[in-house]
Amino acid sequence: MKKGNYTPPPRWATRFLRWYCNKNMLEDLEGDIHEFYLRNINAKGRRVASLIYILDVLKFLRIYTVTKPSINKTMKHFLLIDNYIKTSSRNLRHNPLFSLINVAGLAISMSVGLLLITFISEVYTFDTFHENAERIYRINNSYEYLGDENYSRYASTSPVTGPRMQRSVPGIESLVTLRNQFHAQDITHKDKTIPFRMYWASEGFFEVFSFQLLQGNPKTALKGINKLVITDESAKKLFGNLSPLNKQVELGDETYTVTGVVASPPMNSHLQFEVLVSYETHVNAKKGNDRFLNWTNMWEYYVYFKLREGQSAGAVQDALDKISEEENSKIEHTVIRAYMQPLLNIVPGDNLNNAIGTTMEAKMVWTLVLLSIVVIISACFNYTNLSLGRSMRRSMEVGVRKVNGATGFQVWLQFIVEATIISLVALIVAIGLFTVLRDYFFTIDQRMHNIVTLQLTRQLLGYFLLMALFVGVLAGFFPALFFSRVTAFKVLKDISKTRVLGQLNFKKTLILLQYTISLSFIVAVTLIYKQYRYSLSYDLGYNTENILNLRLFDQGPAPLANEFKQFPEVKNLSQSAIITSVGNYRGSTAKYKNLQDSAWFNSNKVDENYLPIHGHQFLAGDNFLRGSESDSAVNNQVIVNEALLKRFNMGTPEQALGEEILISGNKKVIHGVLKDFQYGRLDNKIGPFVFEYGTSHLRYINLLIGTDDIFNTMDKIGAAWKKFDPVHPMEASFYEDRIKGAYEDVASLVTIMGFMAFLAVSIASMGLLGMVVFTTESRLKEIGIRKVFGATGFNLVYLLARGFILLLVIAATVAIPLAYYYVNAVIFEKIVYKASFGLFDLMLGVVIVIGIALMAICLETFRAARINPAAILRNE
Amino acid sequence: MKGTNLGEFEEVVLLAVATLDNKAYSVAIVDRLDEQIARKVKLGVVHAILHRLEEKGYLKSGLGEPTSERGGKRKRFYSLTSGGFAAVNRSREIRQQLWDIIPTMVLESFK
Repeated sequence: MKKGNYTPPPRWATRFLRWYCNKNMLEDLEGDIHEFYLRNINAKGRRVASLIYILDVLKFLRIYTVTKPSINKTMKHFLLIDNYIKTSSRNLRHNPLFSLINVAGLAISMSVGLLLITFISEVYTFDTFHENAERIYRINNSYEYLGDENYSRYASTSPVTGPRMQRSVPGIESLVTLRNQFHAQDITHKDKTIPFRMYWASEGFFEVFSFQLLQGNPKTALKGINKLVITDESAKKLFGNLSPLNKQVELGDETYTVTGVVASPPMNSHLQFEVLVSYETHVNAKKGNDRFLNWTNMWEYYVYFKLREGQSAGAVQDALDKISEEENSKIEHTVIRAYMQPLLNIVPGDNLNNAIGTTMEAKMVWTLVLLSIVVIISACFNYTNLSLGRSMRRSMEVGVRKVNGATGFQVWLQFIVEATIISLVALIVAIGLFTVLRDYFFTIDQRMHNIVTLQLTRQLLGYFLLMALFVGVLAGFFPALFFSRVTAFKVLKDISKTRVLGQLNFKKTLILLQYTISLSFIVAVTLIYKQYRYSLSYDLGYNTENILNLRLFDQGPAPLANEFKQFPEVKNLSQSAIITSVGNYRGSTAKYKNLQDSAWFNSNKVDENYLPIHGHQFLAGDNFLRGSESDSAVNNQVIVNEALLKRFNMGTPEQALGEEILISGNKKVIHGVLKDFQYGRLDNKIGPFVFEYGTSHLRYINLLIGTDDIFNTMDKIGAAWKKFDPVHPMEASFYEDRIKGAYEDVASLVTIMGFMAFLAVSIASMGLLGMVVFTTESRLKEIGIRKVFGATGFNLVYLLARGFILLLVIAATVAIPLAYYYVNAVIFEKIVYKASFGLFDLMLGVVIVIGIALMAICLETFRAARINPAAILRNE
Repeated sequence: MKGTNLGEFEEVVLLAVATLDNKAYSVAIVDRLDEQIARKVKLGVVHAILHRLEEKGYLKSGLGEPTSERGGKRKRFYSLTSGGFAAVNRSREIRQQLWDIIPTMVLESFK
């Protein structure tokens, strides 16, 4: 064999051999195979020899040749952890500013993360307590009115659905139909009357759900009419310590027998009730009502069912499609489709109309998650940036470590450990902050108390720890990577020459990102807040000032109204079916001359005092004639708005007077025309509206109050109420407060976003401050020399701050349009009447944030610029 | 009984090691088996047997001097331990004992 001809065996095979082979055996084995390889080259040629070589390598992969994984070897890196912890904590102590900024930033952002973890872990336990919850579904309806472009989704369905499904849909183990009773109902036992939240529930209730029936027979408790199951807590309220079973109670005009006691639904059940009434009672009452079993009667009934094991949900959906199709063929103008929603996707889930029980929009949950992740990442950026900013000092240490034999991985691990220590310290602070934040969180939205407890559990603490570790690794990843690549030779030779230009851009990018995020938050909050203020002060087109709305229960209003009339503070009073402009709607359809054309309208039913009290402006005609409902001339009068005239092309208001429209088959005469007013929230486009006249079924009393001593007046009204209705607590509130309540979701959004924005800005500012301090420090010599050559203080500040200011400006130019677009297109997507935003609104937050940042930059650079150059340069 | 009795191939390999004196490394053993008793064996088989014999204590091994051959890798030379020698010797004795008591009639019938 000539030396020149020699080609080594395939490198990868050799490498593979070296990888797997026991180190004690490797050398001679490799030699042996190699020897055969050389022989084969001569005898059979290079290719065959290589092939045999590869086969040999593979054939030697046997138990006795393979390296046994040794625990010691993997542990070796971790044995050094002790040392890492020591050096890390030393480092943290010697750089208090660095440590403070990082711990504070991480702690603040992590406390939000903790809150979120707690919140989410609770929200995702909703309804999981039901046995085989994954097989339970709810039937939802999608409702499409022909001609309307979009359909809406409802959690409710028709009472037809349940029975039809039980007849014709295969694979259903059990099914229950519920009817929601929107208001609490009074239940009387002997002389005690208490209002209870109740559902009507069919007999399958305890088969589908795992609510625990404490007394009674689950199979028969809700079977038959006039039966009632009560929760243990409610039973205690109503019966005291007496056994509730078989007691008679009054509900409405009927007498019911208590056939069961059920444990109160846990907080994480989306169905919340105090009393269940047998659904057959309701069916029985509706007997003979031909509209009851209509497919379109889909506003109050809910169907839940449990799928048999191993059955496919697809088959059920196919059967549902068939039922929907059959039923839709019987009705006109409307297409209603039934579809199934898994029980576990209800909370948190889509935003559905007519939702029953507790609701929680998944979109909101995920928005919160996103916001907190953004804030946490921003805090991680601080760590990354500041670590890199100090890299010159640390590089020396890394160099020494490397010379002493540290591998890249060990250095990497060291810096990860350091970051993790910081994040663990931050976690401790964060848990403290969390407890404060939790109370604050509950004040944002009162409903939260009924949804979550936010109690710490051991499992949660485990999650927290995981999060802290994750945050530590995330924050330390880039610095660790950077330091693990430092070469000992370079750092130790001449530290001042190790300038890493690449990381400069990297740091700037992180700062840019941080500020873009913070500024976007600020701009978004400003816009949302502006819209919120706008909604509250929006000119609705009628008067809401000094009007106190009082909710009535099932009693007739007359005696109470008469009592109120005696009060000198009550200037006037009226009654109405609903309160408008607070998100309540009462709709129906109307027809004019063309009987094919029916128009959707919203309405309110009021007495003759309502319109004057609320100051509605008449364009034509005048107020309702007073009279009794039995008088058809009185009963048939309606007062409509301009939009209705426009919808039906009725011409001028004067022309419309006296025209007849058809509402639910009854002829109504237009008695007056009102100027358009906003009867909904601002996400509602003003459409046709009708005031009907009536004196019965009016749920609210509207009091026009004129007084200087509002507390005294409220006391008087409260006393009158108590005399009149001892059972129900008085529900009275001023119109303005109700409107405020209607926009509570926006208010919560403002609070949450505002808080997040505040955090983001604080964290970004701290990071920036840290960066400025470190950059300035590393340029102290340069500053000294410049000063010696005559640079003025202003020159120096400009020199140092220039880069940062540019970054802020870029961040602002990105953030403003981004936030503006996002708020308009996503958050205010459905809002019809938007506040107008000026440049001032957009710039306000930005200017403040940049102002704070500039102040920090200038103070720090100014300080550096004032240092006597002799003090710095003396050592040279 | 495993461990005390030698397998046939083990015995052959031990003997081959013995014949090679102090130049017994795996490739040489493969060659020796080929030229002396015309047995083609794979390196892998020999390697595994050597490893096993060493574990049993019949062989001991040590690395030789580095050379420029075989990619500069040293050879592992094997030599018999006293236990190894006893083992091959014993198996020869067992055979001899049995040979000795074969009746001459039987032996003659094959001639």
